[in-house]
Amino acid sequence: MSATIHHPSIIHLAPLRASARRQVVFFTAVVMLTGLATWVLADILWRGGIRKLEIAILIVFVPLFGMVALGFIQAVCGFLILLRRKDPFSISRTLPEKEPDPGELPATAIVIPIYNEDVSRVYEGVRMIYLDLVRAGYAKRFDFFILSDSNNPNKWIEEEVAWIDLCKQVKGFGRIFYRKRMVNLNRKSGNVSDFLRRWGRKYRYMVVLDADSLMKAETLARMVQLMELNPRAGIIQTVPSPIQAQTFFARLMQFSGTLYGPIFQAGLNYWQAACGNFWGHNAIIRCAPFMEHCSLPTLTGGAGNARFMSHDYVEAALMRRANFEVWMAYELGGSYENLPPTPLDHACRDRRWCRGNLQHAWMLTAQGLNPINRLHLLMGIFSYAASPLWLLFLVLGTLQGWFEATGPGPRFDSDVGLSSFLDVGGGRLALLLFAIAVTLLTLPKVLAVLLVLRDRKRRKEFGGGVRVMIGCVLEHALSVLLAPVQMIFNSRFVVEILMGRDVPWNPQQRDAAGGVDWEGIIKAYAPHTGIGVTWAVLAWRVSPALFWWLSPVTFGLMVSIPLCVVLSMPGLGRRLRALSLFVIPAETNPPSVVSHLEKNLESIHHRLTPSPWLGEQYGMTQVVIDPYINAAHCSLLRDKQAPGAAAHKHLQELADTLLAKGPAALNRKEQMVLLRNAQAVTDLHERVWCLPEAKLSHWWRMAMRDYNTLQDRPVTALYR
Amino acid sequence: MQRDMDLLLDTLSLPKAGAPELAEWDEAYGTVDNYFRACRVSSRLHRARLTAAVVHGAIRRRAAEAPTGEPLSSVAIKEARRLMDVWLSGLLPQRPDERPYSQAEGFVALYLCDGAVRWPHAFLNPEEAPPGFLDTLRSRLVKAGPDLEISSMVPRPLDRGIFPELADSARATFDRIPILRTLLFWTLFAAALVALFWYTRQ
Repeated sequence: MSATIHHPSIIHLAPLRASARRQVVFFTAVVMLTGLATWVLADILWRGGIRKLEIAILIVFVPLFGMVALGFIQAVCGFLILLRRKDPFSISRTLPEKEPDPGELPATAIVIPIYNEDVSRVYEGVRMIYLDLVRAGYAKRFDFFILSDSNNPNKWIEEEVAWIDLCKQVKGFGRIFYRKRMVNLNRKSGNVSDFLRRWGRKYRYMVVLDADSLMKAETLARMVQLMELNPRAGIIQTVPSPIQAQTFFARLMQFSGTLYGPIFQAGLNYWQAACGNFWGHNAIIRCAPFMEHCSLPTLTGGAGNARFMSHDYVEAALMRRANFEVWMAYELGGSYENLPPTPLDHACRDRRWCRGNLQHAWMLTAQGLNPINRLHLLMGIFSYAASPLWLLFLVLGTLQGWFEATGPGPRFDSDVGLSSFLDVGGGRLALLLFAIAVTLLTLPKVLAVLLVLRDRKRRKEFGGGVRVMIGCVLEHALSVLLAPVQMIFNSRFVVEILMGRDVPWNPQQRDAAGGVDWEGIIKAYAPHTGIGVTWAVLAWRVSPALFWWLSPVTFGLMVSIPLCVVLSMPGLGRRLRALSLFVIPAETNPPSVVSHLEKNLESIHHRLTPSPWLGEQYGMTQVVIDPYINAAHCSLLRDKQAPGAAAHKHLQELADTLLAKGPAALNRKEQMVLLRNAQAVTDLHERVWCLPEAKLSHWWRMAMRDYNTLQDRPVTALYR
Repeated sequence: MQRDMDLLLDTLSLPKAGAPELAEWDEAYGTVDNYFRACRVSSRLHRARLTAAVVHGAIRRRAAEAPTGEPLSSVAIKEARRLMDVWLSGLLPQRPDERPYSQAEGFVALYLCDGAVRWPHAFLNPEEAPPGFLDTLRSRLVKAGPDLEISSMVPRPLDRGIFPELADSARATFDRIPILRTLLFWTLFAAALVALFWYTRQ
């Protein structure tokens, strides 16, 4: 302990006063760049007076360009920091060279809230982390808590069986725990709070993981060590690298995230310093202050019971408000996550995030928040609100083009303002502004590529210099096509949410097991295609020049259906990987946790699986038929009291229906009611075995036959 | 050879008093055999012996009790579960509070130590358990979570400022009178049209 305790904390290395100076420099650069661009646009529009439409264009332009400028300055700062390889504000710098001895680390909980997730992926991830901790000698310092909020009865049973199997296989009883909440109050944040209320006092820290998170043992140990060295740190967020991408789309996102991510992260750390953000997972949290200060307030200030959907930003703001620091350990590495496999899944996730981020408007004026945290909240809102603004900007631009085309004569060519100085017309000036905007969007990518190209090892890990550049060009072209598609989606989400439409809590799709969903893609992207075609025809009729100006937007919308079909293909993704295109270091030089995870998950596909009709209800089948799983489920139920007369009658009716018609005759809620009662579950097991064959439904007869055929195979967590 | 045949015939001989129809015997045998397969008793020989013993026991029990019309297969399954319960409660250790283990706990302990797979011939065997089996079984009592250390976690008071309060009250009004939301939408739409009309006539 003493070895680490005397190591200087981040606040000694980089006092907060210095971080304030950085913020002044950073935001001055953003304001100056935005101001200059606004001046140029105002000059273009203000030719012999300015119309109201042009004023509107100018107003919408300012925040849109401001975001572009902020991204650019952030990337440049990040590039310079990575070039110098020395960042006084990197919290990882406080770490000593030597890895901590297991005895130095306090007990830490690893909590994994799950909700109807792919059971195999969740438990394989836990297995990999646990075995890596055992290998590194840290296993005794970490307890795992799988916190289930699943409301799919089959998933619930699968989770229980997988937990028992996993504990049997890795001898994890007493180290890996499973808890199923009966009431899903306040979703994920409620699940974590529930854990803290029960066990929070036992642990100084908790590491929050997502269902698809993966972390190396050394990273976990280093995170705890960082917390010990920096006693004012309330949350330390790692930067998870995307892994396991199969589809073209996921590979594209994985490639761009890994290639461009570092400079943006270093730049983000440059200006946020100790006022960092929490992304909800792959982070370590100091339990005591989190419990004391970060319980989420109701969204409506007591008028209702609505809760924040995106809890993480708010929790970071509350932690900072309590004078604890929130850092991003962007140099730590060894932290991984999966990405949505298709553009459609990405849009579904965005819909959920959009609602969560828009809710942050309720916190913007809350008393006592740090201005940087307010900015994080505002940027979160703007990351979605920017889409309808961009759409508005384009619509206003189209109207402007129409007025120009049908007006008395071209105003842009008049020799006033900047044009008279630079001796160029308004049209050329507009092109110059466009070129500046494109440069600001493109240059960060170029800088990121340069960083990789100058490092031989990194270059090789990305498949070589030529492949990096090919990948970068392709990625850029495709992101140009995808941007307007995402703009239409996000605009729709914002409008729907503001109109009060609810956003369901659906589990996230994390792999591409289902292949291409043609019907879903056509349904989802038909409006985009329609908008694109209509817009292009209108623009052409107004003027060919306007058509070409708008073509990057309209073309992306018009080809959205074929584009998304191609991007959703796992086969194409695999072929690209075989060609070493869009490869990342975690693929070419994978750490053992990643390679073992991939190998194990791959082996699942070669295992004997239940027939599809049985697979759909496999959890229910197991708990009713299997004597052990039935007993295990009953043991795990906390409430074992016999139900009252009315409840007993209802349970009896449900059980009768289940046995007479099969599980599909009951809806999810009814199945959950049955599964929550230990007596009902035991009775079901006895009845299914005691009923003569003639009185059993055909479904159960077949299920018993099939189940026993499978039973001889080893039962492991690895099944679907 | 003669000895082996004796064994087989012995296993298959039906009890005389209250003997069931062959079909009923078959169904009961099939069900119990299936049940033991679900218990992961993979040895066919051991399963056959256990199944025959259980069905015999069930026939004897049914003959000894008042007729209820309960099918033999049902009596046989209950008999199998009863035998397992007795067998497991004999193997599990005494609790400090002397409370008996539930049937479920016994089954779970057997499941966790893979008793039926690792020691197939020890399954339901009243004779002395093989070395290792008993210790492993007794060490496998499931615990889903560590002991609780209850604490509280409640939101602290937070002044959100004037705008969220105004937004809250507006939202509450819209929730109370939903038609207002629609009217507001129509008004905004009409205002946009009027603005457009006015603008194009400038």
